[in-house]
Amino acid sequence: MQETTWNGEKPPNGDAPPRGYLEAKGFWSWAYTLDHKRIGVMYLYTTLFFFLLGGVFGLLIRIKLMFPGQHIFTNQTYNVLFTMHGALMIFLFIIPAIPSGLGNFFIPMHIGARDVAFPRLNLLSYWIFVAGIVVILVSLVRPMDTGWTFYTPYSAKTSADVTTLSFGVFLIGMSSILTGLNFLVTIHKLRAPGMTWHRMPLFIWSMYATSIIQVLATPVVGITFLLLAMERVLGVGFFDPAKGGDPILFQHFFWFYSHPVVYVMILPAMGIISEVVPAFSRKPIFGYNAIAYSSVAIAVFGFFVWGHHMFVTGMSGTAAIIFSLLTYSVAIPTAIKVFNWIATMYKGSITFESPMLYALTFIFLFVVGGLTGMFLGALGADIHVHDTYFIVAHFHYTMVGGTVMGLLAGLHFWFPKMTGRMLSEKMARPAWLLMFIGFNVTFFTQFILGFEGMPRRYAEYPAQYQALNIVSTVGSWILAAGILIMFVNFVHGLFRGAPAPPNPWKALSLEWQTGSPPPTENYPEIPTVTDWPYGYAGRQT
Amino acid sequence: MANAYALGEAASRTTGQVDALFLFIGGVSLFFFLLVEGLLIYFAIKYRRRKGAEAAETPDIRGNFLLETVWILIPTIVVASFFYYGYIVFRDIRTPSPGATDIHAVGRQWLFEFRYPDGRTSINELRVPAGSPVKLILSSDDVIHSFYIPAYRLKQDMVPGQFTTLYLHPDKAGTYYILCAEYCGVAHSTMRADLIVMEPDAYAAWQEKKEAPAGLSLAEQGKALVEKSGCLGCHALEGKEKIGPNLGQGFGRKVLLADGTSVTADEEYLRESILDPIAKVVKGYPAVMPTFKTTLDPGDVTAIIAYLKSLSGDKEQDKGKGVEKAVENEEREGKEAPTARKGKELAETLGCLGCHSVDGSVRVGPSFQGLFGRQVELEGGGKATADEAYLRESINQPKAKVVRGFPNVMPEFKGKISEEDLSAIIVYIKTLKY
Repeated sequence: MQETTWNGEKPPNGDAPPRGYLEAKGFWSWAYTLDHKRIGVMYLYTTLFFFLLGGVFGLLIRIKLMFPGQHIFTNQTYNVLFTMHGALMIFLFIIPAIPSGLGNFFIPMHIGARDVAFPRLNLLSYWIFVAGIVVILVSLVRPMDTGWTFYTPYSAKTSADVTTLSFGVFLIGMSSILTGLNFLVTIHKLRAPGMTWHRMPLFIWSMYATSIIQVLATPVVGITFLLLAMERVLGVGFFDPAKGGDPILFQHFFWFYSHPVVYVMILPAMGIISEVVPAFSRKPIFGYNAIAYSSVAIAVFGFFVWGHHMFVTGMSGTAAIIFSLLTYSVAIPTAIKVFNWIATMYKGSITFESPMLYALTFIFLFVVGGLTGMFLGALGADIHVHDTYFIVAHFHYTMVGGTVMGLLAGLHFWFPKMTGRMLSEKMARPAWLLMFIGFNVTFFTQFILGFEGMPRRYAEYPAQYQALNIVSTVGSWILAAGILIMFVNFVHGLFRGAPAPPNPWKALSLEWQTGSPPPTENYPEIPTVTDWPYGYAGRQT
Repeated sequence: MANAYALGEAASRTTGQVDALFLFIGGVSLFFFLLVEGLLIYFAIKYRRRKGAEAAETPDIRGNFLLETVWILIPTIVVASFFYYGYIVFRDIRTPSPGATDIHAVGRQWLFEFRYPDGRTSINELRVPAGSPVKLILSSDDVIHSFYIPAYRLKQDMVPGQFTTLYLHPDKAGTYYILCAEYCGVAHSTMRADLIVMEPDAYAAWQEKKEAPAGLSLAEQGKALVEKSGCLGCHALEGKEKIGPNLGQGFGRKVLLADGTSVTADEEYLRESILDPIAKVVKGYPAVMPTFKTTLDPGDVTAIIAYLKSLSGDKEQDKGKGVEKAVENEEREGKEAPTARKGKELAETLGCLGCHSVDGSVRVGPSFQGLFGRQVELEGGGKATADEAYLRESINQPKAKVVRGFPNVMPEFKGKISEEDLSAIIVYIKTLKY
């Protein structure tokens, strides 16, 4: 079994300071930094803040839904809350968290580079991101109530501040495009000597596929929001039928971006799982090529399935049939990945530290999300459950059960590398257990609610749906308790955690072959790579 | 409400079909769920490392061509079967039913209005006989709504500026929810209607009793409009053609267009051709027809299309139409003065009742019942008596004095309704006492 040339347990940090890239202190050392690691950390702090804020909105929504009628707060407040829950979670947390946060930190480290290809552009993307956030927060003066999907003509007519918020999302999109472009160039040009495409960690493959989507799809949503703003401010009738426009056109534009973007959310998480599962099973990844190419296949197919969000808009039967067929084509590369991860565990020597627990949770919950997607791809079934809680449950299973669990696997996996300190396993386990139970109680009930016909975005509902709504709300408290304990663990680990060795998990990818935390330019000497990073077989460690 | 949500209760033809599809996908998915999660848990337990133990030596398995081919092929076959079955059900849902009764359903913030072929209209209540298919022609007056009958497993968006269609096959008498499934504003979640499926005899009796008060059937209204709007200058009804195609026999025919494609002259095509005639010109005719976008409102277009349809030999729907004089049996309505009745009709058609109930229950705004003469507390302090002047102001400029505790969302009606209509509505509100 060949190994990388960088298998030494003693990281060759040379004369670098012990706190690595974290050595410099003060606001400006962060605000002006060109270090991809610091920019990644800033993204993580920002996105995790909005994860918590969006989560609070989610809890308020669930509290309101414990009872069927009008109470606690008005229906209008409810409509604002679910809009903000969606918009913040999607645009400020789940899209940027893994690519811009962990991706920024680990893409250059994984490929043995000193930084991304364009460090200044990278810093610019972060500050454009912050500018977008500021604009979005300004829009809260007259908070938007359209749902995160901005459907016209409602969004063109409502008195709420859709224009400001869509401008904020436009800026966030700009930031996303620049980051994606930066990563594409980095992966193409800055790989260490010897790191061929087929020696790249699978996280890099998935980030490569993600970046392609970001660069190609995001401009469409930017243009769509410009058209919407022109309609609202200048009165140009792109979408208003009274002026010759077509409201369904907006949905085509919107989903042409927003469907591929769900793969921006899930692909990087799949990349993390492909790193964590072999490292904790002490076994080579099963079917490297299949996993790598399936990432690209998902990215490509993902561009041709947007119409499945619109089966009930009155689109032509032919279009609906084609979109249904194409939708199912995405299921196959996704299934391949799941089978390969499970096959990786076969005859492994598995340990269950917190990163692995979250990775296994990802697989478990994502399978549920994927299989329930089978109902939604079938035309006859989708018509019934479209725009009901079935959809809400399905995408929470893929986005929280999938992406968030992948993110948490990544955060627990790389926390020692990023901070130089270990997390407490004693706290991580109960947090994980509460999240797993709470998540399933919250969202599995919603599959049933959806099948029974409860539409989404309902501030009030017919009384027959109440029992399951109460169960779901109680579940959300269990989930929240788990997340709270996890964040206590993060804060505790950050200040009081035990010092981390360079390679606590004995993983083989390049980032573990340097200090924890890494020095400013990652590697004193650019490493030379001679093999893939999954040579775990037979290692006695 | 009949409990129509349990599996196996066939409220309509589609209910059973969609449930069977769910069972099929659910069954196959459950098998794969157990297989995949079972292997995941089994491997996790079987190959776990004991506490403190050294990592065991693991085999260098990097892939297995045969295995990987198999698990590409099997999911492909499975999803292909899901696709095909879903398509079959969808095809059946979309296939037009011959002899279906046309009912127009209009979504409006926040109510459903139904227009029957005999000219009757109703708000938030759709009555159909069991056993006969219904063709719903859906549209919206403002934003996108979605017409959803959970018990029928059917849903179709109501899009402004377009007609969409949905076929119902009611099998079982009962009352079912119609819900709005597309977010449409503050009262989205209370935009609900009842689908009342009646036994055929009961339906016939009801129809007799509540026969059309408007006097003219929808098709007859359309006939008047066609004559008034100058259509007949260019379109003959039948016989020798004038400038454009003849109106008679046109509905439902497949027509060849100037650009070489062909299209069926259904409701949506006719609607488009009245409002945007140049978009799809029939081959061999000059593209000279003006748009009627500004002269005909959506209700007029609906009526004209009903008329065109009646010309093309589809006479069935005209049976029992409302030329017979209305017999108003309901006591309360019988006593109403003509002005109050007009006010009531206006309150229904303008959509007031979408937000204001008449039975004291609170929807979006205050209930009309007992409103007149009551003291109301205003947002921002102060009180007002809901007298004629107050109601007048609140209809013209609702934002001026909002009752405390209610959202400030009512649209202004100033300039949209005549002084006479305004008075009629107020007279109507006056009649609604506790």
